[in-house]
Amino acid sequence: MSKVTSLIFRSLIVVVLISAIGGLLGWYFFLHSRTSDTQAEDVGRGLGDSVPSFTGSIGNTFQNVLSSITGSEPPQPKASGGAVSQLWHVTLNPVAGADFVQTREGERLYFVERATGNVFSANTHTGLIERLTNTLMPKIYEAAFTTDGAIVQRSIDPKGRATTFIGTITLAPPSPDDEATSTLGSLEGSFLNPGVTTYAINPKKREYFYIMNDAERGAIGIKSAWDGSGQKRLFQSGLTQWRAQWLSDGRIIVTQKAADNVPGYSYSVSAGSSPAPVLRDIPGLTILPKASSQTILYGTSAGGSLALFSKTGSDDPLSLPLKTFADKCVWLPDTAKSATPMKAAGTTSKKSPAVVMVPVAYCAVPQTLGVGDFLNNWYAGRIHTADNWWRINAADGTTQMLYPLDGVDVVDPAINDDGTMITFRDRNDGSLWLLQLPFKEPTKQTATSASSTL
Amino acid sequence: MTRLSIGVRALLSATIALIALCAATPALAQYGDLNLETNAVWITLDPLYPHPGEAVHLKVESPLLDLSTMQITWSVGETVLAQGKGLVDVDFKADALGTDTTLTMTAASASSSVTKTVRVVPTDIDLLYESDSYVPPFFLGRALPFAGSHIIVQAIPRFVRPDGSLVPSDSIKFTWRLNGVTMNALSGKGKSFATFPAPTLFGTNTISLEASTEDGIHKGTATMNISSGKPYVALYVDHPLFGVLYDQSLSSDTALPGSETTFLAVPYYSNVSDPRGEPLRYDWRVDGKTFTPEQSAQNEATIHPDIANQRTTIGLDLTHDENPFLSLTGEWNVTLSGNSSSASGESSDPFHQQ
Repeated sequence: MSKVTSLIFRSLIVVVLISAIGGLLGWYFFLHSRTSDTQAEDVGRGLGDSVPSFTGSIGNTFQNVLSSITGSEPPQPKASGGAVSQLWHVTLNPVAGADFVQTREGERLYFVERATGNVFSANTHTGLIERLTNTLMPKIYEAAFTTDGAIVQRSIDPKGRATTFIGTITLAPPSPDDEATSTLGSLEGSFLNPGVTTYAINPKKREYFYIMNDAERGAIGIKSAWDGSGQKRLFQSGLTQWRAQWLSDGRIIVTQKAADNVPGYSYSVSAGSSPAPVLRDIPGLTILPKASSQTILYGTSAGGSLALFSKTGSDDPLSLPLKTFADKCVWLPDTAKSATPMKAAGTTSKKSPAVVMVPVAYCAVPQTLGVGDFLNNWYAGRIHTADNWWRINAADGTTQMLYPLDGVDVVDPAINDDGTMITFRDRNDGSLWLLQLPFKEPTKQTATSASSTL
Repeated sequence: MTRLSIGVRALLSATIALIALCAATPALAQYGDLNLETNAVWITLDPLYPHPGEAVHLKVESPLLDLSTMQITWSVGETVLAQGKGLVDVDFKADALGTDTTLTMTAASASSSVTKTVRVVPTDIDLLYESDSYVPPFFLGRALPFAGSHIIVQAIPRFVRPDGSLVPSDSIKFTWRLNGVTMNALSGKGKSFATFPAPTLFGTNTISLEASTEDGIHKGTATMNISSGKPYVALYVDHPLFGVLYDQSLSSDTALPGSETTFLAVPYYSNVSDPRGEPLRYDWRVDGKTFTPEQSAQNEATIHPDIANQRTTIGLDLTHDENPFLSLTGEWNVTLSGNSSSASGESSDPFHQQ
């Protein structure tokens, strides 16, 4: 091979080598930049984060997830013996449902975490919150408790159908290790068939009532023991859109779902008899019947305005000076410490007059309502209200503001048997609140300028 | 004057007298001193089928008798409600359900009297309705009708017998009418609920019902007007932990934490049972550009803005393949703040709408 050819050949090899190295380097840097982008994206989605522990002092979703987003401190358990404030923000975590439960240790506030379905217990005196269960049931939309702690949880299946779980909380047996603190229990139960549109729980014992769609009849209402036995059909209707309430006196009330300006009807249902009307042909009807009483609190929505009434038996309704609706109200139980007796009307015997308790209700009243169809928009989450708590004497219509809330849109209120506390959720974020009610009978004042207006 | 003409005159006079006597006799026989129930009078009720406790106005009329000159007495059994000369009107309060009251009207003059009775059996009919239009699970409000959907109506009659028992619905004949037209296919014995088409766009349907027992003793009517609802599309966050946040519909301007977010569109009051796909057609837009979601459910879309804290405009046009009246549009401005490192420390709650 001549020198020229050899030189050319060597030059070509060098060029090829340099080109190859340059190309490889370029490819390397190109891939590296893309990898960095992907890694940044993955980190943003949580790659590399340590697996959250659910065995913290609260062990809930807020502590492990939300606190890293908001940077806010989770609600701290109060020291033993410490008192909670009159208005206690129990948890910032979205809650599916809450109620007062009687336990061996006394009354507790049970609530269900929406994200996990885990059940928590809050000591309303010390502020201590404990997790009771470890059964993961994600995305719980509704939850309710019996007075002894059995549970209903509702969610949505992949087909978009509502599911209904009826169960009990099984606490784990105590650990033989004396140094162990608490052990978590589990939820045990079963699912009802899909198609349950509404349900109600017997406040006295473990029974439930539900209405489900029926292809032939429209809807049927069935009462059942907690284990599913003893089922009885109480109700049948061509219509499917009902809400149900079970009162402590045993009455089950079904009421058409409300819509502004649309007439609604409410009936009492029982086995073997036709539905007995409670209220009829009332626009935008929402209703709160009182147990062991003929008194009813009900709201109307018509012409862009809400109105609240109380009615006892066949008497004419009494218009109340507050613009709210029955969903935001609870009755003071007759067994409450602050319940006061009043003489019943029509008493004939002066020696032994019949005594009934003054019907007192507590209602969250929006400070302003805005314009337009309130109920339709509120139910759809298109509007939120900022409420204050009011006390209403349903017998004479006097009212008094009890407690101003700061931007809370009250939903699902519940009152304890003593009538000393109300729990409710904030519809803005699903968080749970507890309000301690004043024990002393407040001075009667009639709401005038303090009442909410459109 | 001849004997013949006198005789003719006498005969003619006798004939006239005889004719007059014959003509008078039937009238005297009809309106003699006897008391009769007669179809020459009738009594109207307003309302025709009163509810319990409702005020009922009764009126007696007659094309043959001059009632204004007659002494009229209204009574229930032995009890006189009202009486007076020419008293053709009276008000009466219907009793409770289960009562069967017979009112008697007696119109009397010096030479005649006529009696008529009318039976008042109070009834009640509740007329309830709802629509099969779409609302999401756990929605506490009632679905409203819109063109293309249906109205389901249920009648709950309260026909109470004197013994207090209720006449069962399957023993009652129901006659349904839509805008005055009798719906024979929906009517019949025991047909206490019926399905009607929803009103047309911006329209109102009048649904009326007449119910009666076979013996005709219990009868009642009810009527209602149903207006068309206004469908709309609402947008919610479908949170990976909490599910769809149905309590917090997105407003026109919303700030949300996080970067990648899935949104769910809910077409309220549309005539579908499942909003996730056909016959609904969802045309999504992001910042004006057509956006095709990756989800199989057409009513869901996951948005992942390239830049944190960027205001993104989500648009949606919703149509129905078989219902040209259903055409919905929505637009929402959403600012996704990005990941936790870029989240504003001032935010105290990630779910507050701002």
